[in-house]
Amino acid sequence: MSDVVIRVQNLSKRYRLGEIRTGRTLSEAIETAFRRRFLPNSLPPDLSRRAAAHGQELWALKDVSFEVKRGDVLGIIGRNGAGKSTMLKIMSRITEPTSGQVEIRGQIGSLLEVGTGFHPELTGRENVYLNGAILGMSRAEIDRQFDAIVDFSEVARFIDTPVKRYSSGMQTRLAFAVAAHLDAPILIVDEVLSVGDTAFQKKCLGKIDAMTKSGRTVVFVSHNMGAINELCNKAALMHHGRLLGFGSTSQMIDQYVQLLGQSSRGGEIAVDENAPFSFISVSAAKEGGAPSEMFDIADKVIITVTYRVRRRIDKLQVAAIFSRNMIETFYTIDTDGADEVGAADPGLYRAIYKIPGMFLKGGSYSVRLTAGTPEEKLQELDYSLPFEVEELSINTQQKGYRSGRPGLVISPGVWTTEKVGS
Amino acid sequence: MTGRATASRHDDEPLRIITARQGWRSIDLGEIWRARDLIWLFIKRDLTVRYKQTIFGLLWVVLQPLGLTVVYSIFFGYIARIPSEGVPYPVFVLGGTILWQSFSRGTSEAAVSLVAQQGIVAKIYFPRPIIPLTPVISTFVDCGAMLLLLVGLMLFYGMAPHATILLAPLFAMLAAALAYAIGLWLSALDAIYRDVRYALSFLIQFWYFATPVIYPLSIVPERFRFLFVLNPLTAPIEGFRWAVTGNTTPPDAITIVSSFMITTVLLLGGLVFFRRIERSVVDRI
Repeated sequence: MSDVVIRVQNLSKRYRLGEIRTGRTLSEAIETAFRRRFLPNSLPPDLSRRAAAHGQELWALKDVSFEVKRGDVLGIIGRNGAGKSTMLKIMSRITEPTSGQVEIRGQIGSLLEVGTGFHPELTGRENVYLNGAILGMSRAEIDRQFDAIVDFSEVARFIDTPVKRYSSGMQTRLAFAVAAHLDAPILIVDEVLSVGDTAFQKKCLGKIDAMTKSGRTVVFVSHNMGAINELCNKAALMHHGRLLGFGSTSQMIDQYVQLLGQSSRGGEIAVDENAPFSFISVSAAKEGGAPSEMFDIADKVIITVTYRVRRRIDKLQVAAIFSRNMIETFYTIDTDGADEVGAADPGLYRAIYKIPGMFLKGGSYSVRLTAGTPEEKLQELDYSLPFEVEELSINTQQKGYRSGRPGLVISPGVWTTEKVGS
Repeated sequence: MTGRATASRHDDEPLRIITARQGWRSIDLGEIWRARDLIWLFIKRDLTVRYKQTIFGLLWVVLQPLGLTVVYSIFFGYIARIPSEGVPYPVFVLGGTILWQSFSRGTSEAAVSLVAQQGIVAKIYFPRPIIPLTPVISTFVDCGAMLLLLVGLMLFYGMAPHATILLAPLFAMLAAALAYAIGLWLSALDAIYRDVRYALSFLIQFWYFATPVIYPLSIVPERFRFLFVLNPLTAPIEGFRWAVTGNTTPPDAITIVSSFMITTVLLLGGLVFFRRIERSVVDRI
């Protein structure tokens, strides 16, 4: 008897890029085939682009092998597109591998999404049964767990109301309640943890914690390194479809952080030699470190901008717009701290903007730069500097500034609570 | 995914090997059977959703064929004087329309079902052949209600249902099997080529006139009759009408055997073809 419950062997998954698209029509298929056969150079731009894509292959997974033992809680980490989701989809039998295999010993439950198959017209009760059955629970099992599910979801009063009348929070709670009662010895979980309001969140964490401690085998994908760190005893680091490392969680997270650090690059900017003002470069770095694209929420983020002034500019201002997840978060001008806007003589300048740690919430950031005077805009950069802030050192599950929660930044405010009466 | 193993000893736990399945492997029918809870819930969902927020609700099941019967009776029965084999024309046409409606709606819904369910298909595994199966079953459930309407109409004309009515479900099942078979083929094709949904309404309309729904087979010239033997829907439509009224001409043995065989071949082929396409369907839709 082996204690390995999941054995992944040389697993590969290839996507032909031409295939990943929404339904082409038969006539297009015939036209492409005909043209490729008889008129190789006459493809219209649209089709020829597709034909070019046809030759392209993307290996979402390439030769991945590892083993998961009974009771392990494995976290799969890596950047977007590293192959994490493909791995979960193959394990859940949603898609088939191109080559290699996965051996799974025992019943498997997979939670790639909460509320799969929820129908707005059906009542809460009907959706619990439908969703439970889709997740693989038998009717008897749902019958047995029904009260617990409703209790957990906190929507008991509305259980016979169509879910289209539920708030989105209520829907999520009900959906999660069903998922949380999926009782399989092997669970495959995609970032479904980040749901609900704070109190409900806490309840979910407790439930997940109990699940992982009950000897169940769990495979878990999350971008929240804090949660991975807390919940998982092993981690697999994936990069461009390959398994880069497999081992203890803390080791793998360290390796992941290093990996993210390596892939940074400064912004290359085309410089117009005749303009009175031009930006030369912009970069983000940790304090005392090399430029980076990836920061922990506790890290200081230091933005360095260099620019050249070729003619004296009377009132020069350089401004930066920070966006988080495509939403403009704040705007800052280099003269914000000064009483009045000063003049700049010709020369090469370097401007540094420091953002303290524990201010930027987890997310994808981009910085756009503009320069000008109060009267006119001198240059607006097309290029925007990207960087990521991740929740690496802190498990933000129960924190107010977890990236999924409302608000754009981590507040510098401080709470003090004291008991002032009985 | 259902059929949970309650193994306490690890050796008893099911070992599943996930690998690239090659070639034209057939379908695991046991797996479909184990998913019967899910099939039932999908059907219940379809039925619930179909008539929610409609004023007449379940009445629509009978209102539609009743309306058609009135229109057909006026145009084909009264004006065009199409013969109806010794039963009143309204009874004759409703007897054919009941099964035809279930068949055409079941086929159409099954044909687009795989694409319609892509949100679920991309997120969770369950035996995919049940996707085109559930709309077929849920539309054929309506057959029962429509049958009551037909019996009512017959009583109105002073006809008593014949004992052969007990055979009616068999003909309905043959039509349902055919609808599922075609649904398997078309839903798999629809996932690759969206042409299917446009061709479908044309196909259904053509088929409607090629099947003795509004006219009896007896008015078709002898030399064209063989075409109706090749139409697998002739036997269930004529058979159902005959079974309920006990009066019209039943399909002959050759037509029934032919229909059964064509349906079986289409069904088995459809299961294999569906299986073949299903392997990569998530990567396509």
